[in-house]
Amino acid sequence: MRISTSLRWLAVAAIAPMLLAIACSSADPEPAPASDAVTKEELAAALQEAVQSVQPAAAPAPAPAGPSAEEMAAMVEAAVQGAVPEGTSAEEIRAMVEAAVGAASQDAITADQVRTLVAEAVAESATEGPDPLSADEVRQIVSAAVSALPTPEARVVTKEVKVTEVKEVQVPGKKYVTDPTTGKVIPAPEYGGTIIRLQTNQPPHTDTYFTHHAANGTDGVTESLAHADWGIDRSVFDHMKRPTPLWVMKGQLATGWVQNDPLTYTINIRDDVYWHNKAPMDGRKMTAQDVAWNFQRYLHLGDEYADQEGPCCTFKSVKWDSVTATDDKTVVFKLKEPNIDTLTILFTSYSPHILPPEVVQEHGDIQDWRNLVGTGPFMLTEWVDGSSMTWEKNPDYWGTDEKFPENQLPYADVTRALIMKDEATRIAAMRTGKADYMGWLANSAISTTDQAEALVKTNPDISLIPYAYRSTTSTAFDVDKPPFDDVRVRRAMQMALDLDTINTIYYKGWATVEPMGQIGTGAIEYVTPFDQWPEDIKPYYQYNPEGAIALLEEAGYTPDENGVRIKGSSVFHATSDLALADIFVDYWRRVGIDIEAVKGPDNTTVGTWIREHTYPHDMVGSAIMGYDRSPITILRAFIHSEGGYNYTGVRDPEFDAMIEAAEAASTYEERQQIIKDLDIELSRQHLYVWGMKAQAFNAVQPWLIGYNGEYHLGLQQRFSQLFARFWLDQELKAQSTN
Amino acid sequence: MGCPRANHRNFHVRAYIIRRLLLFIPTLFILSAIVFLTVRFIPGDAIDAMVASSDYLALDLDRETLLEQLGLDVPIYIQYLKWMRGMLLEGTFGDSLMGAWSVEERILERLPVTIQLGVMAILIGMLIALPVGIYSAVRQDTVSDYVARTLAVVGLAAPNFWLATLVMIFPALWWGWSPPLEMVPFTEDPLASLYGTLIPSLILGTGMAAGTMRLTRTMMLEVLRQDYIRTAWSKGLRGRVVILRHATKNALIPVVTGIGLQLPLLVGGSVIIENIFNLPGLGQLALEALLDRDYPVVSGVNLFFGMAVLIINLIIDLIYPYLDPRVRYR
Repeated sequence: MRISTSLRWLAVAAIAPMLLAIACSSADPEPAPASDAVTKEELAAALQEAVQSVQPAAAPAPAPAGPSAEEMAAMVEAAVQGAVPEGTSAEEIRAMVEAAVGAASQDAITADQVRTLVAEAVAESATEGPDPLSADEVRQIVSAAVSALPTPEARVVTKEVKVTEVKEVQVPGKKYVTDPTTGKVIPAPEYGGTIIRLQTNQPPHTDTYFTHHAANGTDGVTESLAHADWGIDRSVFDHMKRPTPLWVMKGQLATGWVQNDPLTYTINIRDDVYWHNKAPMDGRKMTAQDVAWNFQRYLHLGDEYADQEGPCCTFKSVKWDSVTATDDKTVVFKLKEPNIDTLTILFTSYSPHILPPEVVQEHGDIQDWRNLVGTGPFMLTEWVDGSSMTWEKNPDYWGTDEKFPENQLPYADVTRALIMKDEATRIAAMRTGKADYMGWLANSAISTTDQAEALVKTNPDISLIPYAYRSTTSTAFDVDKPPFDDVRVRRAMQMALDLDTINTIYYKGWATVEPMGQIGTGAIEYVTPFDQWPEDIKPYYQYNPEGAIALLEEAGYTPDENGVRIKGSSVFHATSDLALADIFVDYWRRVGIDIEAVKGPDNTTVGTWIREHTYPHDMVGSAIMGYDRSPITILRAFIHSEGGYNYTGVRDPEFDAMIEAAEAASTYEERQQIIKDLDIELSRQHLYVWGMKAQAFNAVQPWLIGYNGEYHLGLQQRFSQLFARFWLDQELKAQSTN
Repeated sequence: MGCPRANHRNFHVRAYIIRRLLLFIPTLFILSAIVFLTVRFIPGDAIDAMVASSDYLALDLDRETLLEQLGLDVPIYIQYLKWMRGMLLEGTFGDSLMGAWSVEERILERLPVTIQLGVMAILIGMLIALPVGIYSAVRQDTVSDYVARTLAVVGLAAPNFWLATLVMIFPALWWGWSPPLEMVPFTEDPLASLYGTLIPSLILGTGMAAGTMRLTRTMMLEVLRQDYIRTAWSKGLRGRVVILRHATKNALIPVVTGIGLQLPLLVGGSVIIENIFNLPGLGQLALEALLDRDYPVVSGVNLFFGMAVLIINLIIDLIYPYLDPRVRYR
């Protein structure tokens, strides 16, 4: 469709204010105008005021009450059709635009819809007709302006120091679309190319029966019954919270499910899914029998697997009775006892990928990647041990993009993981354009703000997307060891820390200071925000060195001749933030608590000390708090007397009873209340010193499109399954890397 | 019929080799016990490593079942006997605890990269060290000698992981360039493969060169003061002949020994270098396995390295008579 020159003017008008906002950084030193009619500067200045009325609201609007975006576009185009002859003055343009915009309701069009109109209009028409600005100039304006537009991410992460925000870099001549889940304008989906991600580790093998680590290689090849809805509006659920609530889940290999009675669940299976065309599956249809066979293997049911003992016990919290396929499209799960976690375990736990039965029957397992066959968007075609893994597109994949349902997945022809353990090496690879992504989706995040800042300093087009799903800078006391068995001492150590200042100076504003309990705020259904905590607890989580000293005095700890009231030691594992340890130690010293920071043991060593409760120190300085994951799992492991990772060694029958009650709850509401109560009580006991949630960073090249910082598609799908939904702006990549 | 004198010498060589090989047995036995036990003294096991590596996401692994499946539920001495039995009777180092792959297969897969890196590092080290060391000795106490010695001290003092990190960071910062980050197998593309290991080899090689250069210089100075060298000069031989043919050959004997002794250091350096340059060699495998508490892999790789050092030192010992005819096998 040919878009009129007038609409192009409108497009320029709409983005002009944003252009001005970034004028300092993107000013073109060359004299711009190609025509005497209106100079670039005049145009921008004149239209700035004119288009104020179309300035979008800060947040994506709810369902528009007035005209839709399409109606708005038509209205604007009609209003100014043919009315901007060459030489029209800036004043005239302003009047026309005001009239056109004024015809529509303020609420009728969102910021993102305006972006779409602008981008599409300019992209299609920039090279046509008489033009006081050259086509390239218009493109540059659009590109710069749109990249400067506020995005949902930028608004959420309003930090004093702007390391970066998600950038939308646009390339001349490209088509643009609106991401329906975010409202952002992005380059239109395109097929082809190779997406390269940097990964820290390779999986041990490719059989998720033995360990979920295998999903690192199988994900994208094999699939699950359900996954989180990729097409969901990110303002409703941003995929950056864990655990994924059930209401976000939608069928993957399943089309639907129903709980027939307290002990019976029926899962309906898709009938349009085929195994990859690879022996021994040879492209045969995937059936409910395959699903039933897999769960018999996972759950140790049925004739073949009933006598086996599996390593994974995620499933053991449910008393399973049977799994049967009643026909090609229906699987029925029966339980011995009702359990509200049944669907959660089937859909969002780590392991249950649907694996090819014939392969297991032929080889015994699927630990050898060469035998892996699946139903997913990719096929694992190469694995150079210790170096790289390569997945090639499954050309017959059944799935489509939830955001753009007309598009079959995957977009990329190939996705590769380069295995790189060293963070400096990974950053060098990003800096030189040898990789498209490093971060959460590949266990390869940039770990410090300094490194993140340094990267965008040399590569300003790289987007950094921060994330934090738990604190690893909190301190867990061994509550059996005096004086740390005294809650007043523990509270004093918290009150001695000025976390706001540490955050501002050390983390440059990126950390989350607001205190959390054991459960992170990402577990949205199970936490009480700090501002709703009981007033008797709050003061102990606020910086107050005088109060800390008073508490120590009250507990009977007076300073010696060196001003030291208490001595102790805290262990930090080697990959924890060791510089932060020194900062904490210094703050504690100011109130007379002399803590020796013991640094260096690896993660496994410290984990073992915790499991065995044998660490030869008074506290662990790199303890986990505010963890975004299943609250039951966290509390059972970290707090229960029999927990595998009970940092503090707390053995409290009341806590144990609450955890067990939460596990046995018959409704989610009941469980949520128990966990909220327990988390508050744990915070009251101050078993840990809250030490902030520090951010790590995803780094995304500007040509990798479609990623907004999402964690996964449900717990078990994080790697290639997500990369199937991203695409490359191949022209931009070629331009940038050549 | 061969020369009696040569036959006599061959007999001594064979006897020497057999004696050395027999000595391998107790050495390897002791080594096997050490490599088997030391890794088990580190706190934690493979299951702890699985939990730690998944950021405590695998808290619900069934520890008892896994210990049993991995064969870690029996006393250490039984594990050791099983491991020894596997090596002696079945010729296997066992299977990894992380997956169903055999350790020796993985070692053989990774070995070419480490050999390529090691050989290139030694060659580069010698190419730098020998000429500079000889030149430095011949030009003793001149400016060039001081420069060479200073550079050698710098080379000795600069840790190779530090150099490697600099090489990885600064070219990317300044010129948007980084060394190759993906290993191309030699059999696939020899030139690309050599290019991929060139810079890590340079870093390892320069580290080796520093020590070798100093040793070469010292030995050359000692040899150059010998009577037979003075005789050679007085015979009117050209300097090149005196230095290269008469002096260097004899000066190299301890240097060759020194290179042999540096092999374990080379192995140690390769652990870090392979990780920084993303080279899938034995060093990288050993480090991963250690962090994973993958006992069979750690023990297997260490034992393999030990055997390699023993064999290479034996080969070096066998080279001595060529370098110095006075050396005899007894």
